[in-house]
Amino acid sequence: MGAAVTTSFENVPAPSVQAYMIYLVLDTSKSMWLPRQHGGPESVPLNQFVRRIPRMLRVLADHPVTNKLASISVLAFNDRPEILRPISSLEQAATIARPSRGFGTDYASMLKFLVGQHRKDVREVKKSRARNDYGVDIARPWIFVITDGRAYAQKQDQADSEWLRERERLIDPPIEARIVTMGLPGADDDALWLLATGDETGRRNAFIARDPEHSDELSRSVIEAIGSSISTSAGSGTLTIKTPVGMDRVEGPRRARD
Amino acid sequence: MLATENTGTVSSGVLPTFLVLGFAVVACLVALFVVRQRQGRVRERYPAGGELRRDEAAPDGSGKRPRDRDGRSRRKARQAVQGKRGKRAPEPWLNGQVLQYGPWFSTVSHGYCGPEADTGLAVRAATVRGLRHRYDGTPGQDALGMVWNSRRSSLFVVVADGLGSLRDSGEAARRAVAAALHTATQLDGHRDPVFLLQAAGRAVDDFNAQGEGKGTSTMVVAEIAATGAGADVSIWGIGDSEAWLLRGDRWTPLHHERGPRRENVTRHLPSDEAKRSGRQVNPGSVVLLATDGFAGALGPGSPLGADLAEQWDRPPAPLDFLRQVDFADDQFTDDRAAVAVWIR
Repeated sequence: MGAAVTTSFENVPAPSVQAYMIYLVLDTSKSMWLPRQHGGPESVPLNQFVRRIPRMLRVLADHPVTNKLASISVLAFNDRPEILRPISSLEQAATIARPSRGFGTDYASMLKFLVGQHRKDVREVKKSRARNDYGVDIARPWIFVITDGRAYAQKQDQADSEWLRERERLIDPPIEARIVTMGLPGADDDALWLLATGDETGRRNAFIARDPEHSDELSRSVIEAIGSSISTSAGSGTLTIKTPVGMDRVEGPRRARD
Repeated sequence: MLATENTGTVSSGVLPTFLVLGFAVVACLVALFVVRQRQGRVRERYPAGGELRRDEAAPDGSGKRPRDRDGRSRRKARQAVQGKRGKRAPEPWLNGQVLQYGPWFSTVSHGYCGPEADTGLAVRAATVRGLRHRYDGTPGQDALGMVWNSRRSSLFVVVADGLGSLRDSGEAARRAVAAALHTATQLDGHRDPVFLLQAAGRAVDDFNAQGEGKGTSTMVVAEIAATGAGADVSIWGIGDSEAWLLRGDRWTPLHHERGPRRENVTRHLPSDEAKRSGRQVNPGSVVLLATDGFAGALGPGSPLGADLAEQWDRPPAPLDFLRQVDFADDQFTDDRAAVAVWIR
């Protein structure tokens, strides 16, 4: 296509390409770095994910569409959030820091951090994706939270209301994030369901693994979900993703079900 | 003596017989040669689907070969495609329904239609499987179709984009286009073409109800009535497939539903209402209907729009049109379907 543009267009928004922001958020609280009963270092969930995340990014980078359209950031949280990989396209080389070990599972501070970080990341993605010929639209972010705990901060359980307030800020305009929660066995399914977003029928993207050894399937599911969330036209903005292999969808808060 | 006389009588009778037989054989060979030459010429004349073109029927369904206003048989193919040594390759007359759906491959077609051979509509249509589907090994989900309705003296063009969030949306789009084309062939001069979209919506409903799959689609429909001095163009659209008018270097949207693009949500069949627009267009204009995979690259500042404005002063060769629809940009990864109609 030539650079000279003499054509005139009437009454229509300028064309643009879409860029997608993906956050992988890893719970690094104490329960994630303690070895499972009768298990060796390999059974430590955190070790498994620390090993798998670079592989996941390599798989995503191999896909030409994800590679060209998605920017990915990896975060961890325990008593406080931290950035392991700043938001960047999969084409760009970026180190993934080793997460620090903490004790708590502070959902509120993690969600609050994401609200603040998103604005900066939008600027960064727009800058890195800028084109001379087409504008860049940033799509609603997808946030994948991998956790095995319940909200716990400052040596006590964190009240739902405390972190739900931050969740609302994240899923309401202007950010309108879509959140997928993936819990390891034993995770609090109420918390998973409350944190996740879903569709207008009430189904949410909250999943819980049946088997702790299935973290490879979990990472494969994350890759698949990221792929299907990019550049797929839909009739509704509140998408639900398929239930990953080896996982069950959390159908609602236990309080409501019981 | 007697023998000699007899021999002479036999000789004088055999010679004319041989001469007659010889003439007959030569005449047969000449006739055979002429017939084969003519058949060859017909094949040359219709390089795309030529064998079928010889059986083409009149658009009124009478079975007679179509005729121009002066009564001459309209077998002649229109010269509209640039060929070798500056010659223009032939253009088939569009007769019957054309439905293009290439789940695993690209498709392209071309032709002309209209009340007059030289003042009608030249059509180019192509579908291209998007980069994502090619890489994932999944089918493309765009479909398109066109049909000439002689009762209304108009060309109907239909473009549908299956929604990627549902697995079988490609098949839903194909069925929607087929239903719309079927309705278009039956439409008399009094009925509202919005029936096309309603029929397409029912086809999508039936497809989902029968449990054969799950899918849905956007749709944009154009009725283009060549008036001899341009055309009357009416558009009906549901969703993010678009219709555009190119006149000189000016692009004008005829149907679009663009807004802030924070997500790929679109209206679709069968639940949403069609939006309608229409206008008269001058000779030399191009009406384009396309799915968002192609039309999404058009708009203010679009290099694609500028390039096409330069290249579409006349209908391009079919393969050039396919190449234009399959423009290379690794951030436009969606399936593409486009129909462009040049108004004479």
